[in-house]
Amino acid sequence: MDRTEVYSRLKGVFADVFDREVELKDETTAADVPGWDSLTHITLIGAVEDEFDVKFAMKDVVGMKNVGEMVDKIIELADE
Amino acid sequence: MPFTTVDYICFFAAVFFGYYAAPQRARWWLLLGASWVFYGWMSPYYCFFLAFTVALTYWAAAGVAANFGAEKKWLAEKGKTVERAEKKAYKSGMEAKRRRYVAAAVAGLLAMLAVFKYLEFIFANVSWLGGALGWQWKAPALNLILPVGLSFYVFQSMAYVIDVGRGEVAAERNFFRHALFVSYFPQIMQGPIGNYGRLAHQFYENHPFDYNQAAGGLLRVAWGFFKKVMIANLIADRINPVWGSAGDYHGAIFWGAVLVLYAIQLFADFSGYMDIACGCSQMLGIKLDENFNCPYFARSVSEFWRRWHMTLSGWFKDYLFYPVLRSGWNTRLRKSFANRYLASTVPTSVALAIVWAATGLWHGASWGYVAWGVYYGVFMILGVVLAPVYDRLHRKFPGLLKNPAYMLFQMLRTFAIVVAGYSIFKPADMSVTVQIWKQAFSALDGGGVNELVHTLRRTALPVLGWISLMFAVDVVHYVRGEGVVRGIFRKMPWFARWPVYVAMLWVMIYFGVYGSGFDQFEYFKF
Repeated sequence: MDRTEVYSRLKGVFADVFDREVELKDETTAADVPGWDSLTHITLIGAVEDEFDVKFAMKDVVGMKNVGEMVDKIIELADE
Repeated sequence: MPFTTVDYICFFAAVFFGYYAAPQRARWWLLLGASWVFYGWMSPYYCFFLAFTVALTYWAAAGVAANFGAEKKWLAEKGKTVERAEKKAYKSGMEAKRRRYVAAAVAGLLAMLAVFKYLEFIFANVSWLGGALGWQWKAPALNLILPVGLSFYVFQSMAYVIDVGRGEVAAERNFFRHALFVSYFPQIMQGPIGNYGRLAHQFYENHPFDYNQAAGGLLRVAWGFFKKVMIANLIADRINPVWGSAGDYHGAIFWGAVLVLYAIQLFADFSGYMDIACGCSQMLGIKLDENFNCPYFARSVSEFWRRWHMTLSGWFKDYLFYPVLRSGWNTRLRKSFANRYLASTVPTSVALAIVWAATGLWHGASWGYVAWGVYYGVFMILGVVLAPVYDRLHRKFPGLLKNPAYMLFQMLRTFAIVVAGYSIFKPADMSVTVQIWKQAFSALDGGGVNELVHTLRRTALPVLGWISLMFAVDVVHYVRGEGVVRGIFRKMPWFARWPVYVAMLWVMIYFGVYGSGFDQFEYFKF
């Protein structure tokens, strides 16, 4: 799976969770997206896991700093 | 050793001078020795609990670290040659072993808490339940002494073991260094609940004496003392008798004022303690996590909990709320709903209910504390359930969230909820809470004013003055950030600031309430 594919599917997940189109870049953080609080974060993580059929470790759930890191992690887990 | 005692002032002066006189490599030993003296001061018996916590968490973290090491070695040797399925099976087997170490430590720590904090409560309930079912059993009187700070350092070390298990931090190999992390004296009795990744490395870094750091820390300590002896103790001195005989006082004005005063007392007490803890630690060059960020300016109940006792709410978020939300059963619950709103609201509400009942119970072994936790749980769940309504409102009126009048309304509404909650929290006994509310509305004649005047006596005006001062400092904190007022003071020429320091000290010595009966802090009992 390459980054472009991950990004396009991820955009769908974000749109679903936040109920609107969200512009995503590697540097995007929770602070850039209105409504991305700790509760939505967990909903988002669950939706991402369902979409890519992966399971994040708790370390990654609380430790991911931006969308770029999330994409890296998805690729790493999907390739395992 | 409570902070507001002469013992502590002498103790800290000795630690401070010894710390900077000692060579760098010996300093952490000095902190370790000092921490155990500090903790064992009131009763050497407490040290057994600390030793048990240190030993158990050291053992579990070492077990996890050895397991990680073995896994790494195996992967390096065989990782490229074996099948993916075999690799996956090996890794999950190793993870299961790590989980067993973590679970053993968590169970051991919770068992210690259960016995010394909750056993009498459990016995009393079993006995009551037995009686209701016709089985007569009288619970034995245990009279166990709850070591001060137990809930704080148990939670701190539990988080450490879980972090090691998750692979977030590497385990500490040196037993005594680990002991220092668990027992560091400024935070052991009442928090802040330290995070290993942010705290432990600071003990071994070089902290050359820095006059500005030390002076800034000392000023923060002084401010903490001021809040404790001039506000918290003064209010406590006046309103403490009220709680024991709630039936003697009546009127909404009286109880409204007493609950607001208690809100101020608790904030001055708890945040004053934190100022002393963080200030002392800052004087040693070690930064502790902040526990308060202007909680009474919060605009929602959930924001209040992101600003009040932040290290405890952060703990519950990372180690209970998230794991519950991500557990298999909660995920299945989420997937069982076709409706999107229900799929997100129901599992979250269940997780919130668990977290808030646990938060209540953490505070103490009584149904009153559980009820107080549930009280907040209800507001949190309402926040989640009504989120779409608020979203629609705020989308329809986009300027509302930035409107000062609306912001003030939100702050006052949140404060009122918090203050009403103290009628459950302070007595920690539902029968007293019910009595308070009955008494408050027993007669709608605006009564209670005389009782209020009588209770406050001549302290009303000075208390109002000190509260206004604290409020003003907190406003600056809210608008400009923590430590700004201290920064302004530190930049003033000496002839302008020293008279203020001397006046502050003089006021505290002559008008402060301290000494026997006033050296305990509200959160010691947790």
